[in-house]
Amino acid sequence: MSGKDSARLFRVIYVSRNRIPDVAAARQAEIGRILSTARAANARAGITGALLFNRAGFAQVLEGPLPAVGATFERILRDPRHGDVVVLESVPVTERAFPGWSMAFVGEAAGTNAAIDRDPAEAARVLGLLRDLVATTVETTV
Amino acid sequence: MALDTAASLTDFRPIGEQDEDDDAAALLAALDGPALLLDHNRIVGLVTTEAARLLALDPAAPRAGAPLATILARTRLAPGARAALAELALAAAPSACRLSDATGGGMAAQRISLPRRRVALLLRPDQARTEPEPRLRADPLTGLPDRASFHATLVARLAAEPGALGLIVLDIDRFWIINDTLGPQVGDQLLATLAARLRTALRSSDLPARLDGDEFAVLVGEGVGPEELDGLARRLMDGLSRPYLLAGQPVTVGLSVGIARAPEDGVAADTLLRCATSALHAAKAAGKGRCATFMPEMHARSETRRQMETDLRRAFALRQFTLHYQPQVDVSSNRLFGFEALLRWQHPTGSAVSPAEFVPLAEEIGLMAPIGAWVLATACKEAAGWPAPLAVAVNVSALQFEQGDLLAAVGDALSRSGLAPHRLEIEVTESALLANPEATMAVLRQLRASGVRIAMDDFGTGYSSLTRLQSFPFDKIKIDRSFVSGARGVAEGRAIVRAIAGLGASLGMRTIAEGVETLEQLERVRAEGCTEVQGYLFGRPVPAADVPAMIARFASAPMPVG
Repeated sequence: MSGKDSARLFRVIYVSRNRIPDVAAARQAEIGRILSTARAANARAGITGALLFNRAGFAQVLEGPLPAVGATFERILRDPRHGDVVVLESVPVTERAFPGWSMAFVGEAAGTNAAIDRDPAEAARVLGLLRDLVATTVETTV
Repeated sequence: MALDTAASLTDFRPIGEQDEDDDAAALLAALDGPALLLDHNRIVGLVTTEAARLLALDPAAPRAGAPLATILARTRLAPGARAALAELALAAAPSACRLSDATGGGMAAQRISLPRRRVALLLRPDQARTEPEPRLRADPLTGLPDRASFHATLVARLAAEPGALGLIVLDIDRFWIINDTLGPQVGDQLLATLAARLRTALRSSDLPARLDGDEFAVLVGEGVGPEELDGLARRLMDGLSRPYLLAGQPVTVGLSVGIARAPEDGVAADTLLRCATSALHAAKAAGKGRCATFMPEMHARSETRRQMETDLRRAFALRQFTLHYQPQVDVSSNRLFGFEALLRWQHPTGSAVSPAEFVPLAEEIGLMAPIGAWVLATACKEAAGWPAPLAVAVNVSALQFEQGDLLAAVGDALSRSGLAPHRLEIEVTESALLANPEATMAVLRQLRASGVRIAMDDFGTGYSSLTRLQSFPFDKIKIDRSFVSGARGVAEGRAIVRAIAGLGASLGMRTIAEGVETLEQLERVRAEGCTEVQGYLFGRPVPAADVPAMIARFASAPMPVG
């Protein structure tokens, strides 16, 4: 990667299906682990973003320098706790949508049990939904 | 534990930052030994000075731009050794051979696969064998053991452990498309990232390896049961076929997997590898993106496929393909409109192989684009010798659109032959349009803007869409032979021919009926409003040399007079 790449801000939005067993307590604990690991690593790597989780699965926005976003996303892709990953968007951006959030979290409590859109044409809608939810109902812990 | 993939990749790209054309030279300079570099058509790109000396290459002989056989013919190698080297360059396996002293050889040769389907042949004089064996090496791109060291481990484990062993072989479906469309650097990144995922998905007792190109293997430890092995294979398929973010670009690939087990399928390393590879081929033949467990009957099919692949590469290198031409006739005047160019392959065993058999394989191994370009160039060159305005129709496959070099191939064929663009008609199937509608339409629009005519082939057999006909100004619609022959019922066929001919007329498109063999069929399609016909009634496909006679025959006596 050239120096230019590392300076450039990049955003990835993906959705995936949940593979954590459908037991409320287990799920809660697992999400808690995911978040604390992610936040610590993201803060170090200059990554911000938001994670939406509900019964159906995950939708996540990752933003930061391209190499860091690439490495973080690759780590996420190797995680067996989800599957059927679809990349909705992978683009250079001029500013962060979630500045200050090492990983904002929107969980089931926020009433987001609607099916998450898996169509790349809906990337903007998913991003908008996450921004709205983070702005109004964000939970800093699970 | 978070592998910084992007950062580690840069370390593995010794030739990555250079211009592609410099890669070969840089590579061979770095090799600093006797080597030959061949392109994907097995045309020699470079012979190192050391190789020229070792082979006693005639100083007046070409060192680049000639087929391998041409260059080897000017060396001290006996015909047997030349054939062995040529075979090594063409074959999918094995990756090494020895040329004995008796043949002027006295050296070992090894084939290395390179990006863009090129290969390097590395030569090592025999005296080098007295040196200590080189240490088992890891593949520099992925850090995984290479084929030789994996093989050695497999041999040792089979000898040491009488218990059950599992062998998984996997590869990326149509990996060459990634190299061709996104570039070899992205292809390398994909391989390195896939290898890293492979490593993290395995237990410490499993041994992964990179066998060749995009082919990987996993040796699964002692005592593994069939269900466990199957579960691991499925987990690998899931993990490794998840999207890849390569230089910021999401890339999705399919994987095929073959499984073999010891002692059930064999207790020798070569046998076991062959079983797993046969299973992999069976998975691919079953439609890719699949996992297959070895069964004995897979060997024969796999062997046929491997042989056909080698034959096909050789056929292309040796230009064993020919074009035959079948007349297309205007029904209102009974005059010749032009010819459809049809690809023929005369297999060395004497039998002709149908395109339906070899085109899918050619597509899979990345040979269809060069074959397609050759077809275009040859058809245009031959058609340029026919009296104007006789046209030539050329079929193109979906993959030629995907690779994005169809425009260049058509442009080259026209400019080299001097054929007027409107005398070339590109036949595209509905399935090609469906595979990638936007990209295909964009190419068709540019072709049409340059004056080339576009025909929709096999109309009525796929998901025929009237909207599609309306959305692009096709010059011609080709009605599938099954509607003409009555294979789908005479009355139904007739109704469909009438509907398509009517549709064509109202959209200002010509319609041609294929497979017209009898006067009765001719009368029928004429009555239903088709503007052109093609079929045995007017002439079978003939070699280029017989085309002038056929043109003369039509000029003197248009036939038949049904």
